[in-house]
Amino acid sequence: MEKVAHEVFFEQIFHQYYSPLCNYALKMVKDPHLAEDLVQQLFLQLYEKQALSKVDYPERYLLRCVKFKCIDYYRTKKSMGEIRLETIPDGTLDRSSDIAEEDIEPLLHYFASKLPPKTREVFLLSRNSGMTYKEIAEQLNISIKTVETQMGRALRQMRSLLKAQNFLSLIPFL
Amino acid sequence: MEDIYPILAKHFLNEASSDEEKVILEYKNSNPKEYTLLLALWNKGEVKVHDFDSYRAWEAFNSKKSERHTKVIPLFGSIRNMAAAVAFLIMGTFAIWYLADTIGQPETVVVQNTEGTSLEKRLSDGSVVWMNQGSSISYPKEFGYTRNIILRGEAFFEVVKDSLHPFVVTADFSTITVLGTSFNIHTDTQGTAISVKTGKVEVASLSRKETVVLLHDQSALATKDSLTTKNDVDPNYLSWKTGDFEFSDTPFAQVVTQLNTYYRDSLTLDPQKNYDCTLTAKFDRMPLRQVVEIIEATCGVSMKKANDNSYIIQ
Repeated sequence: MEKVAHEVFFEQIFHQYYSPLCNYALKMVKDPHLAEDLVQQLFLQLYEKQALSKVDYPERYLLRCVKFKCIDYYRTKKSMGEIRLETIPDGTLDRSSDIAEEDIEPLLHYFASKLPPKTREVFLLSRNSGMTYKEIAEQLNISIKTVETQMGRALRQMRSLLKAQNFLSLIPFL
Repeated sequence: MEDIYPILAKHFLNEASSDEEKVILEYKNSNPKEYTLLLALWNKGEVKVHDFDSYRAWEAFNSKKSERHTKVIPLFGSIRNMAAAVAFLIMGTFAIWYLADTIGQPETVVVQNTEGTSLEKRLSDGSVVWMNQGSSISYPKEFGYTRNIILRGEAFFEVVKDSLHPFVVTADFSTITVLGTSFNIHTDTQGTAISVKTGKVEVASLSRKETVVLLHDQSALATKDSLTTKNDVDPNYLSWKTGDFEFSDTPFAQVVTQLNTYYRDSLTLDPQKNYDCTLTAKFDRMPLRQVVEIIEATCGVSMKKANDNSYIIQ
């Protein structure tokens, strides 16, 4: 019944990150089928090279790989070549870096896609409809307190993501 | 500074009170970079999330994988077997091995219950997991923002309440999110069954397209393509752990399947035979011998003793 441990982890990572990564790619390539193809192909490559087992920060690494994959797609005259995984740093020794303007939208969609369902629902309502907490509470038939909690959870998750991507340094500037 | 983020979210949307604004001002002064970055993202345009079906994609992935004819050597095969063998010798009951710096988190703990009885495991947050035989769980040694657990097989969870750190169990066909409660998850090839004993549990299908909230004594079944709920639980959903069984007009084959969850697969049915009787009975942690006698008397079957602890039903 049991699979080899790394296979189990790979499958887990796949389910956890597939949709968020596709959302990231979608914002870069604008075509959902293409976004899926690129992410799918990236996972095949990662699987064969067992690249995920060698990095310290899989999420950061996956996001960078997807970004490279999308950029590479345009650079190599829209062909689906393999990218050189070993050239992508996993960020072990990274200093805190700044977020590039063009990264914001893909990252934001990645973030929203990764939110737990209830939190996502509240976040998207607030974001896209401009409703107040009171209006959201009425629409979803929940308490204002719950809206507050869910929005807080979303924001906290956003901060965790920024920190994990090294956009927030742990040591404050002096 | 307890939990600044709900207040900060309100502040970004002009929903904060003047008292809360004071807290935010203090936070803003001590974390200027974080504040600016979060503000930039929090107010950036419309967000349209697409739901990509990872389950369907996983199937496509698997067929593409085999198309490529690549031979993949299992990375941890030999290490795992060795570790399991050593641990088995030392501890006898179960095998634990640490996979440092592998996929997932910097340090992941994998616990597999290789023994015939249920195994109790306490996690770093104080929550307790009882694993059924043949089941395994894995989790990061130190939990992050969410308490993430991966489950294969069946387990009962008693989760310590911590509203800031959701407890998330990923099973084959669904993701289960709770803050503090107790519930059972059973997974087989057909689906994942969730039965709630106390508290409140959120169940999402793997693609996250559907979610349901379950309260105590409610259950849900997640399969590849559906998520259904029921307003009751199977009376024997915890029998694998407690040894207490309650059958009322239960088909014989089902009785045997359920008894085997506690009595370590001791009963074997004859695949050639059709058992058309049903059983109504209550067993409370009875010795197997006694259970067998009652079944023989009420169902008109005979049980042949294969060895000390197993019977073949004729």
